Amino acid sequence: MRHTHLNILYSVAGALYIWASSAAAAALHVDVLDRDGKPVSDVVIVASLRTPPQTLGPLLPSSHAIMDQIDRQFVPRILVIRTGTAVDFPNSDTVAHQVYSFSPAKRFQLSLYRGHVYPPLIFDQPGLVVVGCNIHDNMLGYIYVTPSPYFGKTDTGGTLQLEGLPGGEYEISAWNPRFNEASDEITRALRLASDARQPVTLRLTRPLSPEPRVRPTKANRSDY
Amino acid sequence: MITEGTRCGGLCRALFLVALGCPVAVPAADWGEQSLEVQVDVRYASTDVERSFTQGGLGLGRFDEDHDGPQLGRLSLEYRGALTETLGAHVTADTYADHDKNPIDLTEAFLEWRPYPSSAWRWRTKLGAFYPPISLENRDTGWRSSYSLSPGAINTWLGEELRTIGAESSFTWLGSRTDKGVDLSLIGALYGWNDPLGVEIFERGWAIHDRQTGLFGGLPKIFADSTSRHQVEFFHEIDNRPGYYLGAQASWPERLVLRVLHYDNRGDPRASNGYEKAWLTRFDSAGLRFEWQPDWTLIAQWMNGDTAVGASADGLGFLRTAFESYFGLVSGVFGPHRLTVRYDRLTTNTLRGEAYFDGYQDANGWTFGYGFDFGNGWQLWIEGLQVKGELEQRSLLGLDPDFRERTLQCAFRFRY
Repeated sequence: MRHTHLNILYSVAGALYIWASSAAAAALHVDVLDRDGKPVSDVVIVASLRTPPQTLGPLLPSSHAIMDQIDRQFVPRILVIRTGTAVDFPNSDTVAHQVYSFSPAKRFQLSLYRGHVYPPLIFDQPGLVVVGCNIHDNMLGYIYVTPSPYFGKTDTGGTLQLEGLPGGEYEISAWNPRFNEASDEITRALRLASDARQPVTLRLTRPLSPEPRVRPTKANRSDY
Repeated sequence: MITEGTRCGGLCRALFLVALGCPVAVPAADWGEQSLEVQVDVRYASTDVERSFTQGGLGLGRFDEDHDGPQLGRLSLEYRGALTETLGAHVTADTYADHDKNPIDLTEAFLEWRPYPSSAWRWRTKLGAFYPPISLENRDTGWRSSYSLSPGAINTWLGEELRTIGAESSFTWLGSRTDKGVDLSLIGALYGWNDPLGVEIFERGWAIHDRQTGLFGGLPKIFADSTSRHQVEFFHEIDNRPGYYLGAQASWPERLVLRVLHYDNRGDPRASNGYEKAWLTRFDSAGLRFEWQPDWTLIAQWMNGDTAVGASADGLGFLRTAFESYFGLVSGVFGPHRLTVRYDRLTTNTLRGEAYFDGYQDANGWTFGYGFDFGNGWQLWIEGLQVKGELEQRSLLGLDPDFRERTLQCAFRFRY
């Protein structure tokens, strides 16, 4: 019963928060371009409010995401979630996988399994969590955990539209495992008026690493 | 004298039984993944090879003009299973139906322990009989090349004569799991039961084909010796001295692999078991595989070493031959089609004891491969292969040392 009350409280608080945020109604239109000016897809974009200090909305226990395993690949390969989100790791392949991570933000291992057998894991620390399979070395997935509620990934056109941001001083960060920039992420400080629709273009200065290849579905012998 | 019982047979049979027997004792719940793959390869070969080494000649092709036409390329069965959460078994059994001693034989049988990485360092250990991490071509099940029917000369030789029968451990720093992109590995092994390693490359030189010698099988002897045996068998322990190899690898997953390895079987060239001799075989190898869009692969491998046999004052053999080979391969995939072209350079040279056996090989190989994937496990392969050059020991059989061999093969493969 206590849990039910808490859930209602969370839901009400969350709804109020979303309403309050959307009332501010600023928007960011982010474009990510490579060194040659071509759009870059699948880039994690996070807008973090610096001033005024962000009053983070409640972590909703119902926040939920899925990282599936299909044809010996993590799908999606890159997942961006808010701190506190529960992530499911179903295995849709006919072969079993052993999913693990030793990233400081979330250490875990899911023993050999097929199907949907494990309860979701809560990612309660911000940071990058690199996920692998102990049987299929070529499987690599990335979970980007951020405390900010304003995030997303660029689409195939290299763009992302973030809506409902309150006005203030922001830091916009962009990350993708293919980046070869001087630092792991590229960041941009930005002032956003409360009703602005602000375009932002982030251009890479160094060439991207090549796109990961999709292996044939039949397992090859692993290297080492 | 070492008896038959001390050969690889005892160990390998035990490993095979362990590999097959363990699952019976393991609760069903621990069976996470098992796979059993049967692969049938039937082919039509047309060749001008005069007498193949598989028939006791010095022809470098697997088939010869008296043994071409419809052939069984290979019938193989590969089992992989998880015995426990972190312990896997791997067994490959084959037949080539070419009158080897055993109609069905094993090419690999090993256990692999893969504990979960708890930090960026990963440790893996293999125990049993398996290939060392040299080939960058043989990535398919049954240690087949993924790029053509016949692997390059270096990897052909591994399939003929070399197997690690012992233990191998690797330590890998998983940079790719820490967002650094590169995995760095060190690898080392201790092994035995492979003391005749070197006899084939000494007598015949390098060859290019896809026949792998079984752990209990052998190849016909080319030059008769004082024993009554007609086959040379490679997987025996003769000198009771373990060998080792040490290697390193840098790998950007799915993109670039760089490998180096130093191999020394620490053989005692004076030792014999009455049938086979121990050879002192040492080599260095290096390789690179680069994969780039849209599904193009470049592979280059190099190997340089020597092999020696017989008593000598310095313990380095009465007869000694140096060998070196390298190849470059480019392969592209276009939908269901794969096209591969490879150049092989093959050289051997007797350094000591030329008065008794003057072996010398200086040849070039060109391989053109075409594969078509029908889906559902069906594949068609067509391969044209030419090896041309000089093989001095052919004169011992009354043949012209200069030779040119051409083989055209068409294979249908089905895997289930």
